[in-house]
Amino acid sequence: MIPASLLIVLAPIAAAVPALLLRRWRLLETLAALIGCAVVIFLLVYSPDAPLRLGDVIIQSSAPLNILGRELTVRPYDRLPLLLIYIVAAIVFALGARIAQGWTFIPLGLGILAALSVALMIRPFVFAGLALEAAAAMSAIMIQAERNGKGSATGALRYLIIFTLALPAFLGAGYAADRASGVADLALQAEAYAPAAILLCIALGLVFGAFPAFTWTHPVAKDAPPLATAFLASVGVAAAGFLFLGFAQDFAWFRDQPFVGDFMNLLGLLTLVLGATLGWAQRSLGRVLAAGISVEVGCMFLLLSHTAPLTVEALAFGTVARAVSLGVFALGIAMIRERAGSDEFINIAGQGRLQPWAALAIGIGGMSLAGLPGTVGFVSRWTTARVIGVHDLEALVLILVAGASVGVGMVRGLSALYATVPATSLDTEVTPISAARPNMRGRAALVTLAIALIIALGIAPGITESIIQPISSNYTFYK
Amino acid sequence: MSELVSLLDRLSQLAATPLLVSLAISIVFILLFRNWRLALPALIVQYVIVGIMLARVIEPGVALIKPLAGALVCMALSIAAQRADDVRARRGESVAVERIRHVAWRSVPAQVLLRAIAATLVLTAAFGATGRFPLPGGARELGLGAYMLLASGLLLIAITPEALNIGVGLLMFISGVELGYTPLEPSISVSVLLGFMTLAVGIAISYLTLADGGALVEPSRHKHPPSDTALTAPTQES
Repeated sequence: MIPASLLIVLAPIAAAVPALLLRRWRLLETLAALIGCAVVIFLLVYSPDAPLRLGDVIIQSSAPLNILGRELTVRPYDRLPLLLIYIVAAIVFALGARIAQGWTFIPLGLGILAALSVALMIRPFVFAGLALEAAAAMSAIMIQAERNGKGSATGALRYLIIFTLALPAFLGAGYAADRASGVADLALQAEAYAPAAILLCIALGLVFGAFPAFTWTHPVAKDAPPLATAFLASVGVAAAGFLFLGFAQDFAWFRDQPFVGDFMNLLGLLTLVLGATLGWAQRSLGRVLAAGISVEVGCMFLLLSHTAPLTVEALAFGTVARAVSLGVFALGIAMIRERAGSDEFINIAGQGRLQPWAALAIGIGGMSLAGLPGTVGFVSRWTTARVIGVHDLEALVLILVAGASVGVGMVRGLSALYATVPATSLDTEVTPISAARPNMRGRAALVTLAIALIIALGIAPGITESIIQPISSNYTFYK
Repeated sequence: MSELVSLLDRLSQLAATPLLVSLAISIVFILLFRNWRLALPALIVQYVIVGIMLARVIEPGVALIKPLAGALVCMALSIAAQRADDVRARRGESVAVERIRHVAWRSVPAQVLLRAIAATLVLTAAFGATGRFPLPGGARELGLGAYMLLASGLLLIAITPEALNIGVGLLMFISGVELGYTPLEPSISVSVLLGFMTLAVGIAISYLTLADGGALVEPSRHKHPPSDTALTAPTQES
């Protein structure tokens, strides 16, 4: 009998090898990644309770895998979040099928997926911190990709530093929880567990990129290939969110601490203020993307500060919405960067006419990030508003303002794309920097499909109901 | 290997003070001299000292993982730094070995003095923290070592712009975490996983060191600009 957890970790690693070997053929590389994700999705769909028989091989979902005395298990409430994370990863990988994001994007993206899966499945939870650190080491290389030069590693280093700072908080939380478990007096237990809960909150706050003073979102969005940023902001942040829900499900001492909700609420408000303040004033598309990530992370924090079934539904749907919105916006930025060599507003004048598909991706992706009706982003904001608006109208207004701020940033970006080209740069502007001729039909088809997905999920969000609702009902801590 | 283990075992029975003094010297040396040809050997020495200190609370055979992982990481970092220096030399920029041969004596006192003051402050703060907020686990000397490594790692991360030095700061921080955490859970799996973590972070830093030095893709090998221009970071600040 093979534990499903072993295959969930091994399948992406196994897919990373052909992806690395086939990196010159982008479509085949993407196909390898999609097959790797599909294998895990198949396993998670078809082995919920009963063993899955494939010939002589029996795969058991609930069977534990022991590594060095630590247990990796697909718990019932972890199965669908893992499924969602792999679906989201597959969407972002597919968006990169027609545009170069560096050799690191897919092979290391698959490695990161394996490490994040370990983080979600492993117990005791302190080892999740080690798995996240391994994912961060791979992410740093993915962020850097093939860029060279002094100061080019700022984003990658910031990401690595922040995850390393989170490591002692995870380890300390494990130790503090272990010590507190020895306290028999019920009256003293909450106090004994408080340090563990505080340390876990700090660790997760760092991993999410929540601390406005020292966050990874802006340096990473500025430096990394755009789709790599979208991958980390959708897959990485989703894994951290479900890790939080897993802690709330497993540990009463964590979910019952009153300050956990307050702390998440504070982080959410601060991160939203950061996004709202910076979004409209940015002068590059990459930084508008970063502001969009801040707004998304802020919304996620506000949701995590509440405990209700609708909260989990909003979180799960937000994961899909974030991946699609950020992915399409990032795809547009990648196309602009490829041709203009930059995404600064001052350098992209006239690119909208030269690359209408890129402009369309930025426009629709940005509208979805801003939460405009008819897009998947709107549905995500609406569900968030239904949770937040009941208790906290000010936070709801802040969410709307922050979304509008990102929308203004996107409109300014579009204006820059369609700005009149200065006469002095007419000769150089039409010469693409890329020596390779891009496959415009393939890109047009990709952008069309992605936009169709944004609109389809915006008009009929019920398509995802078969995954979103069971995710919510599998968590029982709020019942 | 068994000789190494028994050597580590014997060294771990030394008094704590010489070990802590050696650790402090290695830390100050790394904080003062940013040249990789000086800092990386000091980092290897630091890993050996951390290994000896770990051997006081866990099996020497398990504690050996730390210096071995550290030596491997330092080797990878030195290869990356050397390659970055080769590219810099081709561009006519100053490289590590040149800076050792031809020391700019005029600028040294100001730089070293500032770093020495910062290092003194940090080590004093670490000493004070050990007394006021002792780490759990009962091994006081390991707590002091952990505080010194954590604080100086953070200082190095905060005050240096180069990828290699920030990476060295990160590795010192991880060593500090290991010294602080190992007495709490002295198991093989923790040591193995933390050793693996050191290797993973070391590889990432080596890659970033190559990128920081401009040595990932050598321009002379490309007749045409690379096709992956979507990766180009925005170069002009508006």
